[in-house]
Amino acid sequence: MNISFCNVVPMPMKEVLGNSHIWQQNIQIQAGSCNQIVAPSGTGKTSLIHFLYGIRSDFEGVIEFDSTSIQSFSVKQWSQYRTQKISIVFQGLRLFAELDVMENIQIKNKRTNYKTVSQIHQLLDAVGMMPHIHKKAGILSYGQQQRVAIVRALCQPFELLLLDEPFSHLDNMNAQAAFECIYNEVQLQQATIVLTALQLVSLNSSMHVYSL
Amino acid sequence: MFIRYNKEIWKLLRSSLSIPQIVAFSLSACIGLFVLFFAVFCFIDFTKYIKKDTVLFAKEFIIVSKKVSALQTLTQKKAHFTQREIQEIQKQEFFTQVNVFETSQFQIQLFTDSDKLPAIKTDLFFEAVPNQYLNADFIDWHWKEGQTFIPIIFPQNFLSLYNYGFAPGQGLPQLSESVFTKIPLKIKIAGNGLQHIYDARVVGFSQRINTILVPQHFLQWANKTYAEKHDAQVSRLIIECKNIANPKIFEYISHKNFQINDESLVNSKLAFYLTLTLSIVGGIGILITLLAIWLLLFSFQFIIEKNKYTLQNLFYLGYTYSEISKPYRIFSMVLTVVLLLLSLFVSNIMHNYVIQKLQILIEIPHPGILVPLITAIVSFVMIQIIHTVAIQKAVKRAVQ
Repeated sequence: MNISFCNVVPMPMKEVLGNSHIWQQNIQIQAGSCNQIVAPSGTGKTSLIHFLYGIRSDFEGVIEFDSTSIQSFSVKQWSQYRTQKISIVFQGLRLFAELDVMENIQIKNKRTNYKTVSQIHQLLDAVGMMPHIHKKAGILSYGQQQRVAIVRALCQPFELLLLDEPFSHLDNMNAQAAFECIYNEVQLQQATIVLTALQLVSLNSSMHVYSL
Repeated sequence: MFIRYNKEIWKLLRSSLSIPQIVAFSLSACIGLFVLFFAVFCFIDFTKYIKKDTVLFAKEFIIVSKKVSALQTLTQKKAHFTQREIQEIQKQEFFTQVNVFETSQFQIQLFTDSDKLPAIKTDLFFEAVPNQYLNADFIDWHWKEGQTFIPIIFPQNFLSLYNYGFAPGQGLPQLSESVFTKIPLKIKIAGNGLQHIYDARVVGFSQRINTILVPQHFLQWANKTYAEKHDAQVSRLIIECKNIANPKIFEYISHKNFQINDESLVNSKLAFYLTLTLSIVGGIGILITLLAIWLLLFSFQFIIEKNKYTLQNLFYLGYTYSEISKPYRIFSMVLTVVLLLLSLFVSNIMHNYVIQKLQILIEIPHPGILVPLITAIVSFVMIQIIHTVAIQKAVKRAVQ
C-alpha cells in the first residue's frame, strides 16, 4: 500500500512543530517498504499511527492510501480496512485481560481465518510464548503481552502493518525474535511497515528512518 | 452472521451481563405481560358475552311499560297503553317502529316427560314479539299451523334461578346453557274446552327480554284457538330505535312517566364499567411492560457503558457496530421470546381456571389463542425495535 502525506499537521501540535520529516511535508511511503519513525515522546508518533488506523482524524492536510484520501473513509470502510488491509500493534496493546493468550489471538484470527491453529502455535513458539498459551492475558508481564499483541497482529491479511513502540518492553533477543516473525509475515504479504520507536531500532538494514 | 460469532466474543460479553438486573427485568416483564394478556383474554370473553345477546336479536330496541303506582293497585286499574298513546309514541322521530307484546290468554303447563330427567312441572305464560326483532340466522324461530314443536326463548335469569335457587334445594343437577337447550320439554295447553300437548325446547337465553318468548305466529294462533275471552290490552311495548344511546329517548320516557324494563340498560352500564376496568387493567399491564422494557434497556446501556473498553477494542480489531451489538440484540430477543411465551402460557392457564369457575354462571366459548398471540407478536416486534435501536446507539456511543 502506498501512503502519501501532504502537509499533514496534528491539530493539537500546530503551534509547537519543530523540524520533522513527516509533519508539514510532502512525502511518499512506498508499498512494501520498511519505515521506522524515531522521535522522543510528545512529538506525535502515536498520533500518526492513530491517523493511519482511522482512530483519530484531528489533523490538517491530506493522507492518502493508494491515492485515496483516508478522510473520505466511512466507518464501515475502516472496519473492512482493519480486517483485510491494515494491522496494528497498539502502544497500549489493547488485549482482553479476561481471555487467555490463544483466545486473544483467535478473536482477531477468526475474522478472516487467516492462520491455522498450528500456524499460530508456530508463531507463539517463535516468540517464546507457547508455555503461556492458556494463561489469561491479564496476568502476563508487559513484555509477554507485547509478544502476544505482535502475534495477534500477524494473524490477518494486511498491506500495512502499524507497530507503535512494539519492542519497548522486550530485551534485544526477544525483540529480534519478534521482528523476525514480523519480517517473515511482511515479506510473505508484501506489506508496508510503519514502526515507531523512541530510539533507533537497528533490526533491518533496509529500513527508511524518519524523525518527527 | 450469528454462526460466525466466535466463543471468545460470547465469553467477553457474557461475563459483563448483570444477573440481578436481568432477573429484575424478567420478573417485571413477566408480571406486566401476564396482566396485559389476562386483560386481553377477559376483554375477548366479555365482548363475546355481550355480543351473544345481540346475535339473538336483529334490531336495536327498548322495552317500555307504564309505572304501576300504589293508587292503581288499590283501584285495580291496570297499567295499559291506550291506542292514542301508542300512536303518539309512534310519531317520535327517534323511534322507528312500535310493536306490542302479545300475551298468552290460556293455561300453560311445562313439564318433563322422560325417565332420564328429573320430573319438573310448572305453570307458565308466553309472550311474543314480531319475528323481525329476532335474528332468523341464529335461531330457528318459525312455526306453522300443525307443527307440534314450539321453540322457546327463556330469560337468562330463569337459568340462574334454576341453578342457584331451585336445583340445589331439590337435589337436581346444575345445568349449563348448552345442556339446557338440549332438554326435550312438553307443553300442555288448555282452554276453550281444548287441551293439547306440544313438544318444546329452549332455543336460546335472553338477557334483554325478561319474559318467555314463543314465535308470534304460534301465539296468535294459540290465542285464537284456546282463549276464552280476547283481551287485547297492551301492557308492554317493544320499540325499535334509530340509536339506542340517544338521550332524548330517555328524556321522553321519563317525561311520560313510562319505564324501561330492559336489561340492556343495566348491561350497557355494566359494559361501560367493565370496559373501563379492563382498559385500566390492560393499561397497567402495558405500563408495567414498558417499565420492564425500559429497565432492560437501562441495564444494557449500563453494561455497554461498563464494557466500553472491551467494545472499543473489538471495534479497533475490525468488528462493526452491528457485529458488536449483535450478542446483546440476540440476548434481548431470546429473553423477550421466552418471557412472552411464559406469560402467555401462565395467563392462558389462569384464564382457563377462571372460565371453569364461571362456567355455571355464564357460558363463554373459549376465546382462542389467536388475539393474545397477535398481542404477543406485536409486543415482541415493538420491544425488538426499541431494543435494537437503543442497543445500536449505545454501542456507537461507547466505541466512538
